[in-house]
Amino acid sequence: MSKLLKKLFYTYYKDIDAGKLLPRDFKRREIGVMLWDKRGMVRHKGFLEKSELSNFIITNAPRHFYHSASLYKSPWIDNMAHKGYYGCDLVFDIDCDHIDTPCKEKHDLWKCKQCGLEGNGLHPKVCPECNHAVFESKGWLCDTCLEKSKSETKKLVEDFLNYDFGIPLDQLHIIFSGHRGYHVHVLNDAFRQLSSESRRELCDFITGTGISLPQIGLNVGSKMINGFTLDDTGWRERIVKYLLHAVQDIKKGKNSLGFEKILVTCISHNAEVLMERIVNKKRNWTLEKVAMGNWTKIIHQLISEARCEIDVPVTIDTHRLIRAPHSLHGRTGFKVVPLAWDELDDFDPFSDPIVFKGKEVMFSTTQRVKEIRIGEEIYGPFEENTQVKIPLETAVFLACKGVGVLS
Amino acid sequence: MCRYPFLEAAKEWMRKQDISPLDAFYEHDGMLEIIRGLFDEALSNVEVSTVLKHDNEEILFIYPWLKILLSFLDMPKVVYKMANLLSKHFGSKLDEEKYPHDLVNICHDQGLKVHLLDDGNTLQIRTVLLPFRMYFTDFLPVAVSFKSPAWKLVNRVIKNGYVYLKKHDLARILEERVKQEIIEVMDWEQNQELLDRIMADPLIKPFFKELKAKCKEKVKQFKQWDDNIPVNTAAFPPCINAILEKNMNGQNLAHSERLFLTYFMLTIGQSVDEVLELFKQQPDYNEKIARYQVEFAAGMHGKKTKYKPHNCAKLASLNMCMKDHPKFTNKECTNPRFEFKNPLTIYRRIVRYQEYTQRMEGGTGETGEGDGKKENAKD
Repeated sequence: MSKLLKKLFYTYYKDIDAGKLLPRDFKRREIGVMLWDKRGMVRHKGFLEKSELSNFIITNAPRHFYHSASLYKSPWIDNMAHKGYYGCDLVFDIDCDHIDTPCKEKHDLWKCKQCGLEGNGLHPKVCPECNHAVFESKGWLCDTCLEKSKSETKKLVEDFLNYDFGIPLDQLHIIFSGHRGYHVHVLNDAFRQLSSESRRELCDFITGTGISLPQIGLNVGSKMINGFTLDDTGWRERIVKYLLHAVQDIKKGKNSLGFEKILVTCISHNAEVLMERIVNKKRNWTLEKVAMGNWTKIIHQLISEARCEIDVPVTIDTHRLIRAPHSLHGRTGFKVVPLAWDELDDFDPFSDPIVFKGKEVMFSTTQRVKEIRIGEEIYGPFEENTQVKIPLETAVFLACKGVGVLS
Repeated sequence: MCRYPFLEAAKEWMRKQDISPLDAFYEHDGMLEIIRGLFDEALSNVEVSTVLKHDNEEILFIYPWLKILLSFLDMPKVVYKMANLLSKHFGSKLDEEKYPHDLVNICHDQGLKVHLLDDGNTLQIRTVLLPFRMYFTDFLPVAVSFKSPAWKLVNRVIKNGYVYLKKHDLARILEERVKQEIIEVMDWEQNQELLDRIMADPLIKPFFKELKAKCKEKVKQFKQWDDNIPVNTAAFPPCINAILEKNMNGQNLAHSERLFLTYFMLTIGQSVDEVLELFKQQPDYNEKIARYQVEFAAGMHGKKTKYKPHNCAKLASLNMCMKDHPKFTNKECTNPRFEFKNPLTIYRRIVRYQEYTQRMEGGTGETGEGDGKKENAKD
């Protein structure tokens, strides 16, 4: 089975312009691949010639192809301490695997490795049956998941990196990961010298971790609350903007930010007053019949909605490998696609990254297959051990997902 | 320049004077007395020096001598105490600077890329003026050393990539720089030739010997306090061990580190007095203030709330999580099977495991079954 997929990947790597596969400063990057017939990662590869790297990729036609975010003097040395670290690109990862979307209840499964108990959605912290915390998870993809990844990427790029940190959009390189989300590379050498601790601080800013209401100047007294205005900056401004959005939303009878009932009542009873104060940039947020405890809850809810769901360890780990743009993702057969900012909105992750398009082929399922959209069509659900005739791109996707075999 | 001997400009001026360190003692009367006074102040946890009140040339000669002496004394606790005294001293002087331009020039001298804004671009949050700014990539390396919520980027005023700062912020940043510069003497290689010259000098030799004896006596006293550290240190999580090591070296702990250490020790059953014994290592220890704060944490004042130690997420956000630190990490903390949320859980787990293995080891000699059980437990 993997031989057939490897052959397909080989045809892709053989035909692609080798220059596209080269990461920036490729001579200084560690290269890592996962092969079809071996477990684990083949790491600590380094190439000084374009042709060597290109031959390595064509010959192995790897299932996954990565390069280091860091630059080293000698990237091929096994021992990380002896590689000669020069610096690390600032990279962000948004992966819907870490984001709790409602669709997960429908298409994700978990199984406790200790007692075998199964359930839907993201796995619990501990197994309700045996109290163990080791699970096997089976994730699936749908439009809702990838739409959420896209909206979080837009939030990261537009609201945080560009607006708060002033990084120009043309320095932000967006890449569809080929599976569950997007990567954002900051193409500015000035960020390469940031330490892991500094990167954690950046992540804390983006995820709203460690916000202290008194420190940002929100004085919640026993009877009065002094808030922010739209003239403020950073998280202060963000909180006001989300509050304004929440008030407008609740006025229309909606609750898209998911406030609990009592908080919706607090906001809706004071909607007009709040709107007037926000629009006229008044700091007095004291409202009748709204206890200070409820105000604090409202603000914490606004913060949790405004935060961006990045995968923090990817950014702070300066020795991590990241998927190479224009490579193929071994779990979908999709291409890892670099995108310009103005291409992101129209990008369709179930259609645009398809590489292997072709006639219908026979596909045998080895387990139950959930519904999936590939291109414009929806395929499945298919029962276990069924033979179906589906287009090549769908068959490649399902085979890479490991739910069946191409005939 | 005379006010701030740590400046590169001051060091350059000293180099141009071309006066050997020993000659400086003979050319400036009173230097020995000032140095003696500074050591007395540092060893007594004084924060505002009364000895260094004059802004005259002498300080430029005293400052390098202090570093030389600290290096020869080779006592980390004394170094930390002196670093605390001098950094607080110069910090308060910097805070009193009238002209923002002077502060900016001092920052530039120290390699800090700080910009002074003209009146039209100065930000104001309510009544607080923020006339300075740093680009966030320059601010972050400075901020991470503070371990305080106030210095977290997320709590800062940031606009278009610039972090806006008030005068006091710059004074604090420079204060930290001074502290680090003095602490660095611990990495110096001993200049044997200079030491030999000191030991041959009729004026400085007795002074150095007296200073060494005084510091040794004080360090011996600290050692007695070290021995009072709670017994089950083997079960402490990496974050606590890192703070305890800093404390034992006499390094000044950040406010959040002190709080966390207090909450943790009280929660695992230490008494207020036992926790206070730990804080006696601190270069700014003040019995009255420390006792009130520890008693407050123990729920003896105010609303009588007994505070719990910070959770792991909070510690990570304060750069106090040490689970990945090569020196402090332990296998319980990094075991992927257990996602610990609070250091207390790690501590309790290790304590339970230690008790279990002790029971098993106790049974080995008597029944012969213990070996097998012990093996299983280790698995």
